[in-house]
Amino acid sequence: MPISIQVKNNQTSFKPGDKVEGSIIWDLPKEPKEITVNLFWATDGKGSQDIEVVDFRKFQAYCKTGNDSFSFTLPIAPYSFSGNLISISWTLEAFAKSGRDNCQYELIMAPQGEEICQ
Amino acid sequence: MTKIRYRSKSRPTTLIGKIFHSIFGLIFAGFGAVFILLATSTFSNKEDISKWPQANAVIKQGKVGYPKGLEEDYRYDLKYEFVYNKKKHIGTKIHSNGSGGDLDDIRFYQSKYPAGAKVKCYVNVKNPAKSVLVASRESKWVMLPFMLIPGIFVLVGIGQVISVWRGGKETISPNASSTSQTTKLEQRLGLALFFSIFATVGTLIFYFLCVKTMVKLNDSESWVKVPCEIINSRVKSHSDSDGTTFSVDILYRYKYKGTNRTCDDYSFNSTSSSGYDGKAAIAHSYPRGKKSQCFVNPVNPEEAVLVREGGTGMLLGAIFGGIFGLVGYGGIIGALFFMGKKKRGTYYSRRTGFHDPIDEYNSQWEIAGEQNIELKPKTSRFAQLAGSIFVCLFWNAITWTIAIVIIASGKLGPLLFISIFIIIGLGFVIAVFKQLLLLSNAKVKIIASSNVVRLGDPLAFYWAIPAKAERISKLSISFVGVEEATYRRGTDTITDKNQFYNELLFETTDYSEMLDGQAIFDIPETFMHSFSSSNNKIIWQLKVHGKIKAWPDIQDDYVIEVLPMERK
Repeated sequence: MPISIQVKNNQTSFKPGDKVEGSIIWDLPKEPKEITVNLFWATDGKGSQDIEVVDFRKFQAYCKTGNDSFSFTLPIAPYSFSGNLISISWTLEAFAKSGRDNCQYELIMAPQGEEICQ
Repeated sequence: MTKIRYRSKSRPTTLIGKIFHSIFGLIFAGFGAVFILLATSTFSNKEDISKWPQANAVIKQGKVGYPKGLEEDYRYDLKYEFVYNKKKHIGTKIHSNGSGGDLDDIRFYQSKYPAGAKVKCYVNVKNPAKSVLVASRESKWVMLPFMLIPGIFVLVGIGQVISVWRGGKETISPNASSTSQTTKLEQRLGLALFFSIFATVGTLIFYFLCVKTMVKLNDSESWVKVPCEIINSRVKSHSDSDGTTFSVDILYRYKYKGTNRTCDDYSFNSTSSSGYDGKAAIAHSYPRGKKSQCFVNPVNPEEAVLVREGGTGMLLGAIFGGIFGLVGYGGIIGALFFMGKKKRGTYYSRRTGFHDPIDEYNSQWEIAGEQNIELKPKTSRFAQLAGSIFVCLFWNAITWTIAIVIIASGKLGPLLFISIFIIIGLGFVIAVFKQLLLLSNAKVKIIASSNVVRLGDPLAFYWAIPAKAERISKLSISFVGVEEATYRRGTDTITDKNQFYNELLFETTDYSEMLDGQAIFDIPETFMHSFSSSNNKIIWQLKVHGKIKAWPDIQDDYVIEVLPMERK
């Protein structure tokens, strides 16, 4: 995997306001110069998709290989949700400034640590 | 957990989706391109008469020919003599289509080509008898404005294909608060551009057929009444692919300040329309030779009318200009100012001025609701009535106009097809009546402890029915959760709704219990909070249902904003 995201303790379930800590590791054919990590939610289902980047980190990357750590504080909403027409999911995404390499790490964010199902 | 798929509203990601959207775009562009090609080829196929050799000609005879048949034009019957290749020839044509035209054309020909005038003619070398005096009646550029609409079709179609295949890394830009925002702006501008066509057409129709005529009517108060004599009187028919329409065509002569003049204006802006009998009655009331009176513009004595009325054009201008204008301007305002408007609880980022983006992001949930507030229904009954009247008028105006044109043309075949739309239109009429009846229903007042409640907190509310409660046979109040998903199918925007939760809070058939009462509902912490993004919504509401015998039921929804739990 040219770029990968590792979250502390491989945790996927979080509560609103929790910290998401982890690191990105890259091994690319040429130096990426900059790697961005996005924290965003997205809707899925029958409706057209809405996406919002809630926070992001940018890392200087002047080596073909390397790693760096990140930390995000999750907001209080929206909760991870799964309904009949709409679902809301949280994702961490890392991508290099040059090239098409990227990777994603899916999270669940809800008060009970489980996706809210209706 | 649902798998995230990157996709934007306007760009499909699958190959089949891309191909489907491309075909749709190409068909769209194709229609426009075909129209442009047909129009340009029609003009380019016309022989360039200006390249014909010229010769000196003398007008031998010229007189006005009055039309008799339904579809005949006025004519300027003339003969001119010219010499070509040392031979004398006689020509009778002014332009390639002959020597006909409307009365203004004939007046112009009369003044330019009187008997004895020396002019130049363009010689048809293959058949000198078909030579003409004027190379072209209309400029090739006259079609340019009509290329605008098919041109837009071509641009939109090509734009669709380009946007489908436009490359780029499918990652989310951290600088954009939401990937849907840019697309939303494009959509809004695109939609505004689309509606601007309706607005422009509506404005032009309304201005030229209605406003100008009204100004003319006002000015005509000072016009001078003079005697006139009817020269020719008939109903003129105008046939094209859409059917046949008719207009009153009365030519009369009058004398003003010693000068004899002719005019063919019956009223202001008497355009052609379907319906023969009314026009025939007018034409018969002005038989040839009848002495009558007309109104002459003292500033421009060439201008006169037999009656000072707006004519059918003014009414049609008001109806069609009004409908097009309403749709156009309403659409532009809706697209620019209301479409995708952020509501409370909607997600957006304003990082500037905030130290911590998450703190700023969370601030949207720090909403202080109003205490002891009277809740307003999601959509008022008047708004529902106004909406149903607008839809009903819009649909039926178009449908019935087409139906009347079909009936007037006498070809009743297409009426079978249009009858489906007429039945749908009748459904809209019934909906308007239903909304009218709903206006007289009892109003249920709901006063809540707050219109904003956090998960885990109680929602307390009080209801009262000040009048007409005796007509309600059963009253129920429920707390319901609804998902709303909006998506596009072709050119339509569709919103699907699903009620995922329904808790009956109160139900009674007892009149005294209906009059007033109160209820408390603890909103569980395990529920989903209210959510609203551009295309997806989770809405919580109090649903009031009052059953009324033999009358439309009371069905009002009152939105309650349910916030996520507070940070601990």
